[in-house]
Amino acid sequence: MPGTHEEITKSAHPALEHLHFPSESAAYRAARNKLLGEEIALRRQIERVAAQRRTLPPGGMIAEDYAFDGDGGPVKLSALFAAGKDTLAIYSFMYGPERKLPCVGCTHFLDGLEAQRSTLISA
Amino acid sequence: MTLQQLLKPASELAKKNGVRFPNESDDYRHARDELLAEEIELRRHIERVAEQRRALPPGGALPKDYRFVGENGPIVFSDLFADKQTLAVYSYMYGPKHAQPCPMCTSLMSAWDGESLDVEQRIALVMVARSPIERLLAVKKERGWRHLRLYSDVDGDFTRDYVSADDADMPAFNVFTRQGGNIRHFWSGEMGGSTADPGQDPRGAPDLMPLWTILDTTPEGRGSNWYPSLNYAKR
Repeated sequence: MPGTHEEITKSAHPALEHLHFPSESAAYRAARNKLLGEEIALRRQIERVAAQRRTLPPGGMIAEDYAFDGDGGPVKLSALFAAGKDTLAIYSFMYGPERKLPCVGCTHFLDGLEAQRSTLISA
Repeated sequence: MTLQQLLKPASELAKKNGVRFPNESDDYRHARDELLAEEIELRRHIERVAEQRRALPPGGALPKDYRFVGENGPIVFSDLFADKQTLAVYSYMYGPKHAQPCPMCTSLMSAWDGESLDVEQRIALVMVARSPIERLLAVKKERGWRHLRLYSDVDGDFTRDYVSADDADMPAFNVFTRQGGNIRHFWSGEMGGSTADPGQDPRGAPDLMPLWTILDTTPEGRGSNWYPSLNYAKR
């Protein structure tokens, strides 16, 4: 049956095969292919930087088990790691007590992140 | 001299960054500054590619004013621009034969739902799929999307011209411009299977999914065998 996760994922593999668009000029295609070469180089650079990041020497030990308040009450940093996860990412939100309103840029960024939170936690 | 040639070398900027974290070793700082220089080079590469994209010759003229059906009934392509000069169209893999929408597209669109109000201050952004509008609105409700504009490509003409000539259920991201009433194609993601590197799924650069960009900052990385799902067990 089409529609299962596996089938959709598999069918996504040959995606975006479309190297000619309606009424495009030869000049557009030549420039677009040149850009495509740069986009591929950029993609490879993104992969290289991520790989280099993963080979960093161990970072500093945390200085103490920092205390926070969450909507379930006080919590320590060590307890912020979700069950079964060895990595914790923390975004520092610009909304200090002296501010009337939270940072607009942060808020928009977090709007986007909010929707991907459950997906990231399962990764 | 171009702006890029006037920029200070990345390694020079990295050495001067002055950032230190508790208990970090000299080895860590040395490697981190080397990485920082590469991150600066990467940022500059992203800027160069965006500039090169903006310098493309005019794309092909739109062959016809395609018809769609949205939440408020029928609408033509040219009206999707609203009051903007640029329209981005995401083609959502949710054809009428699929029992469920593509989980990867759905994850991407969930993130965009949170950003679309902001995006639409600058350009028009719409999601198009081949399923009837009722099915698209059911997904919108189920996922809790508040802002995304969804349209059904009922006759498939747009999809055949800009996504898949044989109307296969595929994702696509197409950008169009409007100048003096003339609508032209501007750019589309073209990094499909034939451009993918060994062991990788097709992916664009920069990646349009926050999910993958976040995982790129972690020791786990993207993984080679993990994909988002539509639902997860409650924790």
